[in-house]
Amino acid sequence: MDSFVSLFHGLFIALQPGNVVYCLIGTLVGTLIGVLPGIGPLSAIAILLPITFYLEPVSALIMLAGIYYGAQYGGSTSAILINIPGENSSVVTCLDGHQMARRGRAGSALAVAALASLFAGIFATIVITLFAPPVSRLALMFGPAEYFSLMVLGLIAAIVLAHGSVLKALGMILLGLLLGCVGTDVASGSLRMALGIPELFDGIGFIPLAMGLFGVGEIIRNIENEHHQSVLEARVRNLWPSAEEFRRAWPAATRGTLIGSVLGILPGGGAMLSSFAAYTIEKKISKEPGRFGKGAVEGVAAPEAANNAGAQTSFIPLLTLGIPSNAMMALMAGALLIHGIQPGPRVITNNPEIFWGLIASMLVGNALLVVINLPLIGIWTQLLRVPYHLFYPMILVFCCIGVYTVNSSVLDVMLLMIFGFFGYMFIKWQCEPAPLLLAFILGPLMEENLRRAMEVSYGDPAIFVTRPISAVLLIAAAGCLVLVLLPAFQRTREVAFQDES
Amino acid sequence: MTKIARRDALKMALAAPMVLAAGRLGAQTAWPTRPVQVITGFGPGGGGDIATRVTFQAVSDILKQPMVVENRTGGNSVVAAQAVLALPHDGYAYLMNGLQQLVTPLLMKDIPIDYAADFQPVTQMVKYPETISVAKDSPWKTFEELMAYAKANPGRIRYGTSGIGGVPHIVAEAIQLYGGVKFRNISYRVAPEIARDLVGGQLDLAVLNVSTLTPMIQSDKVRLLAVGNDTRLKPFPDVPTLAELGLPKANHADWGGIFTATGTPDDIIAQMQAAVAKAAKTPSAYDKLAAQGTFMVGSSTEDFKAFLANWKGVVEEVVREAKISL
Repeated sequence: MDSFVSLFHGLFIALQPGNVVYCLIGTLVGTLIGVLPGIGPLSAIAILLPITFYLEPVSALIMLAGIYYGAQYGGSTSAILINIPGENSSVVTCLDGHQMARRGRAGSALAVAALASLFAGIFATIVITLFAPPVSRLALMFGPAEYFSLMVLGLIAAIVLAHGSVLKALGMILLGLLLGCVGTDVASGSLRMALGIPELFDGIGFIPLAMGLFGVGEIIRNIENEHHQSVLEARVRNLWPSAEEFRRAWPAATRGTLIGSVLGILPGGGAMLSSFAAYTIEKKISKEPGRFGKGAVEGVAAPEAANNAGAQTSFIPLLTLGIPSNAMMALMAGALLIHGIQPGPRVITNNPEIFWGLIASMLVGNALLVVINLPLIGIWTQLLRVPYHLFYPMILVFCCIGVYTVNSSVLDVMLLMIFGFFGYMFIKWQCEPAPLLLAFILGPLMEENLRRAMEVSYGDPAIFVTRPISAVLLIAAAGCLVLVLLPAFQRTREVAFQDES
Repeated sequence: MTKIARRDALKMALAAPMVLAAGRLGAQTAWPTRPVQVITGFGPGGGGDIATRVTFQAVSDILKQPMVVENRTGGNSVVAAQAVLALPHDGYAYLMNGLQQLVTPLLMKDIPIDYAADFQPVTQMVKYPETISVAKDSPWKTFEELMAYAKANPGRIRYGTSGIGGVPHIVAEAIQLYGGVKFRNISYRVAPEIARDLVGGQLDLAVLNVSTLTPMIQSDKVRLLAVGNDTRLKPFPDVPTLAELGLPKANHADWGGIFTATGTPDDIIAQMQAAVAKAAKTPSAYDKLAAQGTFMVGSSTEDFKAFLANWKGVVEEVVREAKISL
């Protein structure tokens, strides 16, 4: 109960007029950069970090956090409307969200995304309040072996997730793994497939890859099919989800929230894995898996809830252990350090106003986001009425600017174009880019953790099965694999996907 | 691509004496009259980035011009270094870099720039003392106990490093080289993960900058066995330095310094050095960084050159003897 008293104290701090204003600015900026393709929260916060010098630490953090979870909202908007994932966690939202938009349900897809995120945001705040210290121990229990097994599970889930041919999905995963190999090998420091280009020493960027494969590829495809101009044709009817959609969405949002809250705590691919995992699980337990990929509302609600819950619980390891779980959290750690606050266990005791103020501001911010976004849905969907010969060049320009701003690298813009071409070819060949992206992100993490686990165990592979968490994850992965390979399941899967074509 | 960059560098090197001569004509160039760019290869929010931002915030107050800090990550600082060289060599562009300035050319072949010829040192900006630590529940209470175990069990002690050729890695290699032991090196992408796995029992030993380890020290999850610094650290008066433990050649602190392109006028370099040195004596900036284990230095350019020459010897010896290669 003490935690809730502190939370109320935090709410008092978060509701001070100045802090509400910063929260509003943060969430507005976040929504905007989330909507603009390519300019993700990472680059926005990196740019804004120096400005926070001049703010009170609490206000600075409230604003930066607002940008972070605001971008999760905004990212779903561009994913749904124009099939461009602003960042890795909205990749899966494209699958069903954009299909909903094409069927004229853009408004209800946006509303479901917003409401699912709100629910997840509130739930995750409560999780942080109640469980921050005990939950952070989970992050410590995850060593290299556990991470490796988690990544294996993720990759196998990617096969289940893929539409159509299992062989093609495997091929895409393999391609993703290969692309993920580019860059400096962490263990030896030697370069792999970097072609002597310094910009590639740290590997291919996620943003040019994702935006090229999904966004640019889609745009080229639309130019080709004149009668198939999805953006122009989509007519926005009801903004509000129907009762049927509500009924389908809320259990999905609840499951997504739970998955996101747990996986968000884990470093590395945690936040992205959670939206993928939420989607996969929805598809698995659904009575009509054939609806997925064709505009199933569960396919929007679950991953959106999961990524928002994950975005917030990823603060737990930072604020309790001082371990940033992803690049965004590393930036937040930087923002704390600039103000002379060491992220870690002392934050709760030494700077309670910061810890609780930040957490309470998440409640305020999520409420603000829904207030901002629900009326905006009408405006966003108006975007779809912009003639497509004006709209697409604009998107392309924003994509290029967005990609360039991340690293101020011209090479990234060229990569965007190259991957855009391949994105188009993949559509032609009916290959899903989602498994490729997942493999691209998970591959390097998986390799690192595999090698690290083998080193830690002095070369004994038994470490993967003798450590209980790792063993459970591997058994789950094996279970998924068996399901995919079982003849009975294979048949239903084929039937399910036949509906689509 | 490589060739063009080299040719450019050559042109710049040829032009350098002329610019230098021009610089000497006026007694003191009016500088800075517009914003100055400071480019670093350290990512936003990391220790190196924060040190640069806090320092140059103070420098900007002193010189009354904005100091724009820019992160250009990648390629072991090659990307940031190239970005500085691509700007005019007129005293408005600086590189903040660490040991990579010396190690990258040593370990990486085929890089498009020549660190030694293309850059000149300005000042040592900061130092970050190193810590040698074990988990709280570890059986080793002292550095000597650890070394005794390591001697009896070669390759059993697992330690984590991030960044091959970084100072923590060089310190760890030097401990093995001069202490006559063999550890097992496990590589990480980022340092906080090492702290996590040390506490989680995956690693036996960690060599980390003190700021990375601070959260674990605060939550009483680790035990410090030794520090790499010229003196003991104030918050840990009982923890000996590596020199006191008989390993003077392993006793190093990590550092970050300011460099600029060859050809930058000398008097501007002198003004920048003076400003960083003055910033290092600004209590607000110094205390802010000291609280997280980063200490501002602001050494003279001559001292920094000697410091770099000494480090070059250290690194070359360790790399050669420990057979570090790519």
